[in-house]
Amino acid sequence: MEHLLEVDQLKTYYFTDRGVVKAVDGVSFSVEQGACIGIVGESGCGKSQTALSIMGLVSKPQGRIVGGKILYRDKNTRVTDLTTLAPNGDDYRSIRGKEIAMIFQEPMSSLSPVYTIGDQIAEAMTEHHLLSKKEAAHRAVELLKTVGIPAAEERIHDYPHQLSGGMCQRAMIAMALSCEPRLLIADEPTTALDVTIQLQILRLLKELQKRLSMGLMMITHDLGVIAEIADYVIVMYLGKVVEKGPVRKILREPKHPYTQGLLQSRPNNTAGKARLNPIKGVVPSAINPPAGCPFSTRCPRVFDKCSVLPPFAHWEEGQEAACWLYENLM
Amino acid sequence: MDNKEEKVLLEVGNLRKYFPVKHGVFRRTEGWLKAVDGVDFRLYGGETLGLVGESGCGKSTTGRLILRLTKPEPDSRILFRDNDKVVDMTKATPQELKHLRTRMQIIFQDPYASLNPWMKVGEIVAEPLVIHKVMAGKELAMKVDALLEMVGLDASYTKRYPHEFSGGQRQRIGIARALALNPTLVVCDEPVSSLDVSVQAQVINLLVDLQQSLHLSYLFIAHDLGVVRYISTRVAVMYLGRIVETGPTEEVFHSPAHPYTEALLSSMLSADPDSSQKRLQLEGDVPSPINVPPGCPFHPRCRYYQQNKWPECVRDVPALAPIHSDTHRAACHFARTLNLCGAEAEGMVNVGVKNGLNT
Repeated sequence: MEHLLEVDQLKTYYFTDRGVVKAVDGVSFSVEQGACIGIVGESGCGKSQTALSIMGLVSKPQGRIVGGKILYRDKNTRVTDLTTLAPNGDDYRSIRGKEIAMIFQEPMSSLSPVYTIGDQIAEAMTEHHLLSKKEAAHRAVELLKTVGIPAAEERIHDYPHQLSGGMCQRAMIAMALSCEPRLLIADEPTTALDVTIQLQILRLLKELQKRLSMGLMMITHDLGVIAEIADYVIVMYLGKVVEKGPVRKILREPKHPYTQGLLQSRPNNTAGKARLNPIKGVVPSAINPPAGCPFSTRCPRVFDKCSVLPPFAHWEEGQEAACWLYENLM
Repeated sequence: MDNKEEKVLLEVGNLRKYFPVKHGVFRRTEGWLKAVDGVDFRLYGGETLGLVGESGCGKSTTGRLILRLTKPEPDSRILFRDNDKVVDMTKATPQELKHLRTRMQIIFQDPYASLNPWMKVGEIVAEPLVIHKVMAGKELAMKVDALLEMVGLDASYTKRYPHEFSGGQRQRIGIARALALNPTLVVCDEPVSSLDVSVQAQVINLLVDLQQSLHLSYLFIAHDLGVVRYISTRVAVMYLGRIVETGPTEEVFHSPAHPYTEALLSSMLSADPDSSQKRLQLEGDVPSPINVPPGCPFHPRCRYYQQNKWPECVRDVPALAPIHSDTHRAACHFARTLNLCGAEAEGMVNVGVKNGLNT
């Protein structure tokens, strides 16, 4: 199967006064059409920066993609390296929002408070010259119905503050879907929502992904969300991928001590009332990451070899983990 | 139960808080938002009562009312045991309140917003002790060092400012401040929901350790059912300002008696890839607490009402009545006839939905 998107050794660095932050440091993965890839990690691991790099939204002037490729295959199977396009140029703008769309984390603060929901959904469609203003307004109503907003004809005249968090997130999804993207990036789309609404939104995304045969990239810190929606998982830590593989393998047989630690930290995965087994310490500063394996400062199984960055060890079904414990499988 | 009666630390009865909804130029009151509408519960010494529910259900307001950070409606009762004396918080004078607040403290949700950025960590932790004139000088400095060490921070951090710390460390500072006056009751308002998974587990472990060593009682407010299940002795599920179900944690999670609890439990995400299939989905949003539906407040979203259209559900407000035992109570007209699904120990597994009736 040909990849919809292939990220190869992506490096996004931030050049700050205090030093260079390697937000994304040599990340590689691919997204298939009609499949969901989950990117999981704690705050500061570079998962959102990976998404912003793909969208060409790395904030200037400090942030810069300094290496690697983002290969996007369009409808005519032509492959473009997105890193070579000017972020503000016409080529990128014809892809952003139209072919690759993104749902941002906080629905309330990502929507403009001074435009109605309907206007905001219609904007992308008129901007990309797909529809006239009138047609776009009509389509906005249809989209709101698709994402399950009741009385959509009236809701399009509402402003974001008149809607609940769940409703705003649905409107964001409608906006992202307006141009029928081939790849949808969802950055923690349910983190700010209640559990019951979270399930509704995840169901909706999964259904739309199947129906429209989209590639879906789900960024989250919650392994529960991963189990619910993802087919394939990437675990990130301090800007690097530490483990990747099919969702069942990652959740059932995690190999990397970090993935194992994340799973053991979940309270509902501990049988009975046994003491929780958290990962000790905190994520180190991205300005001074540890030499070698990024997880070595917190790893319960650290040994002398960990001062060198480990390559990936391989298992069946494409599971890979960057850890010296599996040196015989490298 | 009888020997436990003596150890009731907090008893809340008919707790209500209505906020006026004002409109127009003259700010006329045009309705009331019933944030908390008749909540009753007891908290025993040394236990954790988990308060769960969706946002807007009144769980945080309940916590604030207990500490009298918000004034409850006149006929509410908040009985608090201070050593051997039982005081009604709603009738306490300002002097009494000031003293009572040494006995009850709160840990806030957002560790970034709840610490004053202009104060040093040492000053933040010392502040309750200074306000209540408990100690001063060298004794105070030593106490602050001890408090910081108790929550797993280095005593040398007293000279630093909050921005120098991570979310988990800030939450530890908040915990040290809450424990400075040796309270017996700590209201934990979503204490771990803004933290990363691995740090969350560290803070939960800390809270459990402190509870055991200091014999604290927690009112643990959270929306994360996994965390609540882990830490709570008993749980109370709130919906639109009322408690709809309460009971021992495992009993409620295994055999919920209210359809809302069932729906809430089945929305819990598990990291088990095999359990993701069979779920009950709750449709729609929580209705506005300004226009609470008549009868059972949950009936517009209740799948059993939708199937059966029972007239009672629209007509009468169900009382919180005992189900399996006196401790497990649910506010549903059909709690005894419905056979609801619980959550398995390993997250949520919902095999073969037993919908419909037993009888």
